[in-house]
Amino acid sequence: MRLYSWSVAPNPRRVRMFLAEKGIDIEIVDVAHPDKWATVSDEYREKFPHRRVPLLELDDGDWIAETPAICRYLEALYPEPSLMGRTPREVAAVETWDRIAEWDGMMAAGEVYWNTSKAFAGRSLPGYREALPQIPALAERGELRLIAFYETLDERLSGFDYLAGDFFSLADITAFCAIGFAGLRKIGIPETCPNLLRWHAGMDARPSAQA
Amino acid sequence: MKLYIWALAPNPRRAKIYVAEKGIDIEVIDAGNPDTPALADWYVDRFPHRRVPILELDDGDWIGEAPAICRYLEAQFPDPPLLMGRDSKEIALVEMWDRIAEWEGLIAVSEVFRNTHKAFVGRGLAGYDRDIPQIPELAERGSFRLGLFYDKLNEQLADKEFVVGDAFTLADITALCAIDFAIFRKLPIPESCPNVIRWHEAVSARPSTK
Repeated sequence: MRLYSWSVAPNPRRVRMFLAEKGIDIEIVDVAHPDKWATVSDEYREKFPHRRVPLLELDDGDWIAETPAICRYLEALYPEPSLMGRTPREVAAVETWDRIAEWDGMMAAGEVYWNTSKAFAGRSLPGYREALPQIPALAERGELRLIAFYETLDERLSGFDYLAGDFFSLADITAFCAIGFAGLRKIGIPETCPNLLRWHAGMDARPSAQA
Repeated sequence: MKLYIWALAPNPRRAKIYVAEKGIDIEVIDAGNPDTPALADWYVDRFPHRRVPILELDDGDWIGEAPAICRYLEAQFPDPPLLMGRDSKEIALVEMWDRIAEWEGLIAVSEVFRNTHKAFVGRGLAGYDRDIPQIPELAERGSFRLGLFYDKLNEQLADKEFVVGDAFTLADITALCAIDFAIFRKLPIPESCPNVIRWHEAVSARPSTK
């Protein structure tokens, strides 16, 4: 089993944190392009038509892409400590909040970053061979969405220690990576969100945050 | 348990088809306004998630997001055990293809629909309590992405009966909801994608999709 990762990207970071929290030691291959900044290598894109990271290659040559699918597979192989919920209700809460963190947070940060970074001109979404022009209005929309995302999380964390409830999970990892991604464009947590700031300080102190 | 849907929207349809495939008898409530294309005020006041579908549990807790609802129901009603995958690897592949169908298909069509329809001015995305302006360039990008999704799906279905393999799964349901939404928006399956056309005819014949 081998994890293909890219050190600068937020989605592979979700899986690396997941592995660190579980204490799983597997081979991690960084697919950064040797010469071109902000690009994955040609070999990687030719080998895996999905063209995105992370990707888990299995020993039989099959592969699994998409972060939550990879994590769910690893959770089945390495159940302890549980990061995706122990009961059906916990599993559902993790998935609901992981998707909120991804769609409202990670994608919003992506809308800002991919539509403003010079290195991503013509690549406003990852995983496409074809040119996708940058859309400045989409970067503005992303910023608007991030503010709403911070407010949603702050409200949720007013009643719970973690996003899915009273237990740490993949949803927290995803939200933390999304906020880190937004930080690249200096769109940080506003001071009007004290619950989120408290949670974020706790996340930052976990050893897995360095993964 | 109650399932809140909106009859016009593609995401609740994913949960509705799933429930029908499983033969689960559950109360389904339409949260749409009778007159205007919007969710009813009582619904958005009650559920801050402001999106459909939502599954409300008997103790008042709720589960949002179609795949989370389906996974929860799968645990309660494991038979027949096909829709979410039968072993760890198949479960992962169903989730992967469900996400591809959602992200590259359903969201691409939504980008077209939400950013061009006059009734959705200021509501370029579902689920927000604030103004989200329409972005015409995003509609163009969505239309372009949808074309690429048709091609990708056509390639995937070249040697498979269903999206993941030999069993009908949630990934088929999501792809069907995306494509029917696209057909509604007059972005039909191109003739250059015969495998998608063959698959679409087959899955559309299932009683669950009516």
